[in-house]
Amino acid sequence: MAADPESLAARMMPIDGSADGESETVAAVPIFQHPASRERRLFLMLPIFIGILSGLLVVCFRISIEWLRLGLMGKQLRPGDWRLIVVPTAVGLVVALLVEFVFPAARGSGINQTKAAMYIHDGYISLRTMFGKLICTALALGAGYSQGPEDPSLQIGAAIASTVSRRFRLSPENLRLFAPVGAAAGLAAAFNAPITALLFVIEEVVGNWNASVLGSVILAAIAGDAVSRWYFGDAPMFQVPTLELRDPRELLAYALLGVVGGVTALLFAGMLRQSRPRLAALPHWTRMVQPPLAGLLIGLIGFLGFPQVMGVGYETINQAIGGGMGWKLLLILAALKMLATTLGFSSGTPGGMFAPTLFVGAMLGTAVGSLQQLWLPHLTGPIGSYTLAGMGVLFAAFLRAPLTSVFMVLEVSGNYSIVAPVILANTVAYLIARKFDPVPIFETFTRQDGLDLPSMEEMREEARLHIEDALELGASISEDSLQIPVLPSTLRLREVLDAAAASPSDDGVVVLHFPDGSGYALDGAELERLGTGASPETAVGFLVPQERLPLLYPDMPLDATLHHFGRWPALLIRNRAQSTAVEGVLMEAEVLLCYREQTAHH
Amino acid sequence: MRLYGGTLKKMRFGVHSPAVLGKHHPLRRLAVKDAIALGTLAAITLSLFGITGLYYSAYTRYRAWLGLPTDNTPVITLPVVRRH
Repeated sequence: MAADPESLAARMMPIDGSADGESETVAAVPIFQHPASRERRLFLMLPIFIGILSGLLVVCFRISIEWLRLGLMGKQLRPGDWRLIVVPTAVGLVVALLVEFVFPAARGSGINQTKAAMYIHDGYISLRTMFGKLICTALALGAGYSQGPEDPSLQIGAAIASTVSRRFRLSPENLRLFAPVGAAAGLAAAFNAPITALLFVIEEVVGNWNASVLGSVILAAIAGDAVSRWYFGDAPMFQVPTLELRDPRELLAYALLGVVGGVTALLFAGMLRQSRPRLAALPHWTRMVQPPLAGLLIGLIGFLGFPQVMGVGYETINQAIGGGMGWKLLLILAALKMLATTLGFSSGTPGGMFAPTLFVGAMLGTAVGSLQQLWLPHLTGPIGSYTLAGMGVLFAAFLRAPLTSVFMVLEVSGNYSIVAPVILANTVAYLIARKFDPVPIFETFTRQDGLDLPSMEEMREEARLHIEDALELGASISEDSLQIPVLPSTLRLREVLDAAAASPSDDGVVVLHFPDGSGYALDGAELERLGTGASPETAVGFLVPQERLPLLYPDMPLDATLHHFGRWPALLIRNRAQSTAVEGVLMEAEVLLCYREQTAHH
Repeated sequence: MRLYGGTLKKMRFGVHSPAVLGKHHPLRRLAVKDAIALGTLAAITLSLFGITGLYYSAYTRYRAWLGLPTDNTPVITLPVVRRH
């Protein structure tokens, strides 16, 4: 915690700003701010603690789900067992009471709540919410609700990060940034997949590759994953046999899987989109009966012959990877899982969407692989390849995380031999889903909750304007009428004054170009002021201050120019390859015109 | 007591901080607070490690009592197998 004496002295300046501290009227008041170096150090140190704490809590969370499941439902789920109906119904009532009276913020999956905390509440998630999410989700999943533990784990991690970072009184900006750090740790511990957690948080929660938060997210994800592996071992999440792409023509089947996955994701999202607001619009007291009723219906599905859809469902995915399940059963399981998840989630029962997404994708993928094996056995590789690709397909299309989906498949399987088909299938599914449903499901939930959070999908699709666009637009509409003169700095003052008078700009703006390629923009008034008392024959380069225009190139984002107009009347755009060459001159009006054109075009 | 030609009282031990970093300076207080907070955090982390370990071993014993394998064979959410 060493302090830099100079910066410290600067902060101890009198409040009137005089450096010598001899102000007569105002006494020196120490203006204390936390040193920036402290927060930088904490950004490296705290993520390790956050990762470990999140990992430990997620381990407890996962054990609790298992324990409750074994205690409430027994060792095996068998159709016709009365517990399949009674347990989800009774536990649903308990969860409803807990959510209504004790943990009202525990509803939902956890991803939107984490994003809301980050963007609205300065990264604040209370410990009460965290424990509520942990207890309610463990109860629900242990009782057979068809949701997943990953999204709640993400929120548990974010809550830990929020609590720890608040204890250190960080700046509000950094408090906000710590939420995704914990989120990555929680997800990594739940998934045994740190790369997936890192990418998901960057792709879906943060939305940009901000270097300052990236290092912390990596540290936390690794720490969380290490704790999880400490307890549960380091084997991949799914036991996958040796996979291969047997024939390049098999890629067509993966493309078809992409189409099927894209359509299914649309259907799944549509079910949730329709049912959630309808159930939420019912009278408030129905919130007490919705979860038990959903539990009853989910239990009925299991009771009547399909207990595989109950609970998280990873063991069924492992069975599917091993083959031996008929394609009809697989398709039925996929459909029933979507129904059961929609019931549970829309009723307000806490629980995540990751595991159901993987389940539905795995069933679809295995079904497509089974059909391929039936009709074209000589072109079909191992069924497990299709199961994994199917999981990735739904992940990409339903959760709209195309990059994460590819790494997720590779990481949970520990197998890199099917990367090409996975990329193909995921891309096809993602494009189909995005084409027919531009609003991702979590954005829909956000809007249904009356929140307006930044949309990562929209940010990805946003067409960014560049400096060259403004230059081209300026050239196309003004020909040579608005060309700001670029004059050599060796030109005499009187010649520059003449050029300023002839400048198409109302203020007589000219740009001086120095031999080293740098520039200085000034208007007629500044030119006259600088030239006061100077000989008209003086080279103008000697009159202007040492300050120079910022370095700007045509490929840079147009946004980067805006704040420079607070200081400069015009900006010189230079050439990256030839430092003394000038690409053009940009005026504020041209930049604004470019934005207007873009808006009008859209 | 006389030592090295002077009194012990006159001798200066230790390194003195700059005046600006005096005992009651906010930066110094902040450093102390941070150290306490980090120590507390480390203690909580270690305690939670212990609690999780106890919880895990209790769960393992429960599995053994049910006749289930105790090597994390998956039931629902623990689909990982510890490699021996």
